[in-house]
Amino acid sequence: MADKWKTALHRLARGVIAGIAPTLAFGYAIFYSIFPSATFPVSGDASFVWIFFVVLTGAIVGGIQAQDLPEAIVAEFLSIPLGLAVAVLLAWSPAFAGFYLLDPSGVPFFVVHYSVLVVALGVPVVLVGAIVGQVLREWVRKDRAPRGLAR
Amino acid sequence: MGYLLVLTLAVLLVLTGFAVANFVSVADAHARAGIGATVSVGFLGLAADGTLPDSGKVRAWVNVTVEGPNSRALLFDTVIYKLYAEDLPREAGIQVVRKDVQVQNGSKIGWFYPAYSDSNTSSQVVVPAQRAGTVFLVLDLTLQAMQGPFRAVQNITDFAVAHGTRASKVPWLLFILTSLWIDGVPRPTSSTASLYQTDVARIVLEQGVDYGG
Repeated sequence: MADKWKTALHRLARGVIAGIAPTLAFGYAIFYSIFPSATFPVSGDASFVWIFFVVLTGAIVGGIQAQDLPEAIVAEFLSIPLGLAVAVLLAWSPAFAGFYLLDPSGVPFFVVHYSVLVVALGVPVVLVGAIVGQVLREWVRKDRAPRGLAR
Repeated sequence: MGYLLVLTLAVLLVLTGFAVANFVSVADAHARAGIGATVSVGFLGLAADGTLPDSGKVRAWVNVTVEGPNSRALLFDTVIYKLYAEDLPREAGIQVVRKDVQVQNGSKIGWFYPAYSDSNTSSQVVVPAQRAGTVFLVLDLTLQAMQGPFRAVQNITDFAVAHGTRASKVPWLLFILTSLWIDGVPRPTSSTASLYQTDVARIVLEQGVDYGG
């Protein structure tokens, strides 16, 4: 029984580690896409290429960290709502300093409303990222194994 | 593979940190920018008895000052102004045909005539970081340029003079609505950009009450 819990906790911890990069990448990308002129890098309009690059990079890194494909896919898909939560926190950041660019109670709805496109883009991108990450992980593992045996 | 995760997280945290710092700075500019506007109204070419002849001129000097809130400079975009002259004849019970606005001050109800109502977009005055910037407007009202408002102000000042008050002592109310662009916050160029994106780059400040007119 204790081993079962230990295994489950271990798996959960791995899933959390695998989900950190895509969650942060997604949160940042949503925040940037909503306020491109007031975040970083500063631009009048949000750059689709930049958003795609950030989300895909986070997804691939998350995919590499996961032990197997199902774990990668679960971690990646959980990163979408978690990323939204991160974006809400980032949009709230001025309120922590006592300033209000938006009404704090309206921030979650505002972020969700204006992140629809990024979320729609994110679903296939995190899926691709999970698969590419797993392929890269297997490739590195296979690449290392023979050399390890040769020594 | 842990180093890859650490490196990615470090880059993402740096990006997020810069983004938040920039965002807080813009929000700070919105929250702390303050406006102070003053007006003085004078009359050029008054007759010997103090009344305003047809050849005279009503001149308003409006100063709109904005305090730079933080390390970001601001650029004046539009200054919308409205100047209301207290319609003393109407308050005295004389029938007038002009469109006045009603102003309640405590229990007292006053009537004011909107003599000036326009905007200025040409100043392009810069408000330096953490300092003040002022737009100086000189607004002339002549019979040739604005017959209706001039006649109204002429009637009001002549009434004042007839009752022992100088024309320059007629009370005026000022309403200012101004917008400024925040330095370093580019405006959206896409035609499909949401309106809030322009609002992020622009600070809107007002002083006084817009009574319409």
